[in-house]
Amino acid sequence: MPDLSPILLSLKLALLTSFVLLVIGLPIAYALSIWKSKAKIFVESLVSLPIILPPTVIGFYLLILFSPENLFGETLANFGIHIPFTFSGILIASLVYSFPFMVQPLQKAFEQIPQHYWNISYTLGKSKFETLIKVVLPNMKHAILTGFILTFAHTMGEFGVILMIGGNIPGETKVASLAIYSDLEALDYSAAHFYSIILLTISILIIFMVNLLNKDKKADA
Amino acid sequence: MLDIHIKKQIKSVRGETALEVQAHFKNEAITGIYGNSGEGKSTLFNIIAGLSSPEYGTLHYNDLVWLDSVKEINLPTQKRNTGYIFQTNSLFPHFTVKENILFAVKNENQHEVAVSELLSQVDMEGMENRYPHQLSGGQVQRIAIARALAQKAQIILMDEPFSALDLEIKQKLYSFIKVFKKKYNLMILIVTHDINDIFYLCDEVLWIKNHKTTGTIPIDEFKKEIELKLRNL
Repeated sequence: MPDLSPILLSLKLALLTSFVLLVIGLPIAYALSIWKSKAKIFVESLVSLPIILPPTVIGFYLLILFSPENLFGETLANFGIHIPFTFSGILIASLVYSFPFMVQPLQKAFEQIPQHYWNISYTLGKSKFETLIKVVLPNMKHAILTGFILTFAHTMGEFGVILMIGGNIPGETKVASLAIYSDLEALDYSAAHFYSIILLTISILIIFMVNLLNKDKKADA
Repeated sequence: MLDIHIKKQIKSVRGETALEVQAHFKNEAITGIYGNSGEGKSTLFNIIAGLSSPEYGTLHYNDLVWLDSVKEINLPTQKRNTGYIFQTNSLFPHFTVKENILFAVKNENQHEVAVSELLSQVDMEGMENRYPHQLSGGQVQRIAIARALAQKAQIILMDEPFSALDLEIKQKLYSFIKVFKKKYNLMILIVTHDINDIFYLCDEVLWIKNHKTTGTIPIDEFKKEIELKLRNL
């Protein structure tokens, strides 16, 4: 039986990334949805950048940023915070890498909520926060689930960015995709198969769930 | 009564222009806000509801100051207690009929029974657990009216509430609105570009022409003006 820790590490990383991105993605997506400025297209481009940027480039610059050789990394190190080649490091890299997969569906959903839902709620005596929690977010539940699932799936399959900033440390940064690579290098095909089949099954389930969500969304409309 | 005297810059098809409204709306009356598209009718509603602010003006409801641009008073929407009914999608789609009505009630525990009573008043008994997408356009508007009653709104703003409805359904809504005006002493303002809505329903009319108006006119005077306009065509 191959070591299960890379799978568990991948699941832990994907779940944490999805939850953290949901929490920070909601206010950012909302701000982008209401922001009216010529600079908006620049910020939106920046948000989308990880989609097209090679993961190794993201990993390389994160490694430079957090390196104790540089001011920022050195300052963190002085506080006892070490990012490269740790689980925290691959979590930060995942947050950057999967950022657009959460923010884009959320921003689109905020933009599609009719303004008069907000207005009616205000006239009914509700505050902006109450309106957000009780009216707006329930009406974008499909987008929230889609963003969560896409982020989860994207993180499960990360390779380059994790290899760059995390290395391949068993139990710390060796996620399932890295385990497949290592096992292949070591000509251990059965272990590589084991991890690959698990990732393949998870991917099929995720695609099925996304399609099911889209079908439900069409039925609701 | 509601006294309004405002000036606000708005964007129209002919570019930027000023909406200037001076009017006095009576309690227990239905007033039609009439005018062509882009005259600023919905903007006026947003100002009354507190959803938009004019550059200059005052707004008094009975003895309360809702807005005074000089004294920098602007009562938030949440404290104006105005019912707002839109042309479509007036209800929240994720709530049932009952939840939509209870959302307007300040203390939900005290009003469990009131929901069925309100529904019977708008001929919608037994519809508590339906979702808005399971209702017709006319039924949605009736629930929206019930919600405004649950809210205990003294002013109800209706923005083109009949434009997506058939004549028969419209007439049923007209009768509900007339009954509720008297029963609850309501001030009802209706934005419409359909003169039939005004003829059937309204006691007075605020006619916005070229983004300006200087007050309401009685329905008979409005009819005369329309007749004159038609004769001159």
